[in-house]
Amino acid sequence: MAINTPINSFIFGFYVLLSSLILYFDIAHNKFEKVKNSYNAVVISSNYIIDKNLESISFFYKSFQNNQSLLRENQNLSYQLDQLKVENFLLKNFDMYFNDFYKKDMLETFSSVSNRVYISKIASFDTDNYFCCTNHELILNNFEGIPKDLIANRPVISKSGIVGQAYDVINDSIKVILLSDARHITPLKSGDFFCNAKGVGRPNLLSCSLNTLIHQNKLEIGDLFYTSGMGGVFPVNILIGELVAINKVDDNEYLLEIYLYQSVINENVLGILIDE
Amino acid sequence: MNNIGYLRIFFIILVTLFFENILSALFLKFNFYIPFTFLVFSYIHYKKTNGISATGSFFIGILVDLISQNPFGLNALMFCLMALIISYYKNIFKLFSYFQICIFFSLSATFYVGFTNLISNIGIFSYTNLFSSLLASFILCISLSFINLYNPRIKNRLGIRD
Repeated sequence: MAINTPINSFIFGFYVLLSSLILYFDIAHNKFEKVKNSYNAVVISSNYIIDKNLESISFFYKSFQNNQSLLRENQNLSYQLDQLKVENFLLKNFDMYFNDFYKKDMLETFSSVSNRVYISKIASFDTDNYFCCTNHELILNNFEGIPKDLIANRPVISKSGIVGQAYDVINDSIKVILLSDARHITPLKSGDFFCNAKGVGRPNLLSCSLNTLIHQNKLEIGDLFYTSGMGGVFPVNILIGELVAINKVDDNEYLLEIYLYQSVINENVLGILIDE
Repeated sequence: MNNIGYLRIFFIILVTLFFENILSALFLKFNFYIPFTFLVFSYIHYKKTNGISATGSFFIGILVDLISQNPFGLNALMFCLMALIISYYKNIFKLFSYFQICIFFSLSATFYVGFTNLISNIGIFSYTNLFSSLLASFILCISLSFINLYNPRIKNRLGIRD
């Protein structure tokens, strides 16, 4: 027969009595309301602080996660903005850039402008070569696979005007020669003076030769030069630049330096005028 | 479990209380209630070599009251009473079978449920609830006994020794 375990019943009895008294005072007189309220306040405050901290951590985590997508979105928006700038430029200068045949078509709807301009992102531009040497070329993307016969030898424009000429299509890229390339010739005019301006091979500079036996030298520094439309590539009367220097080469021969207003240095997208 | 410290006991009680709060809402849909915290306290006291002291039982009860928003002293009273009974009959329990101990624990749990309902939830007191709580507590206790008997690996993994 097992005997009961010897325990100090007095202490247990004391605590049972104490608990009963506490229970009685709590139920009958609500004596511990302050303790309970204080505890609830602490719990609520703790929860609030924890929630706030978790929210901050979660915010940072989400920000970190969204960073990449925001960057991508930013790039896309920037690209679209550049596209719009080129299109806007074309809309503003519509009369100059398109001949009457297409003008009639396109004025009906603005969206048709984008059907006549292939806007593309600059894929590659060797700026070192641009500043140092005579070959001024860049490459545009051709992900839509525009055929060569549609864009070869067509003018290339930025949001400020003509910058060059497309001359070749290789796979997904379009090669563009800039006006300032030493191999490129742009037919220009200023008043009744016409010339074939050659690229100098330096940024934003063209040169024209002036023979006083043929033309009278009425030109002055600051005279504006426009496309003459003689080559059949560039539309007529497009502002290209201004005369910045007249250098004497021979008794009857002068070399005119024309500064181009349009630069590709700050451009991201360019448009190729598809004027079939 | 034989020489578990008060800090660990309190931590186990807290975790059990947390799960009890989650499960109680589910159990009440089926009209029964299992007082896990009370049963875990009783089991620890039963298994601990020297049991939980009267002071320890009182303060654990008070803390449980504070956390579970019960009237102050309710759990303290129940824990002290349970500690007293288990301590008093500790040697006699050694003669009991698992089945009998299960009946004892489930009856204690039912008493706890009944008493708690009388004190704080008199509106939902019903004998049906009490009976279903008795049945649920008994099934829980007997299931745990079976696990204890037939799967000693679980018992060892939990660090429970006879």
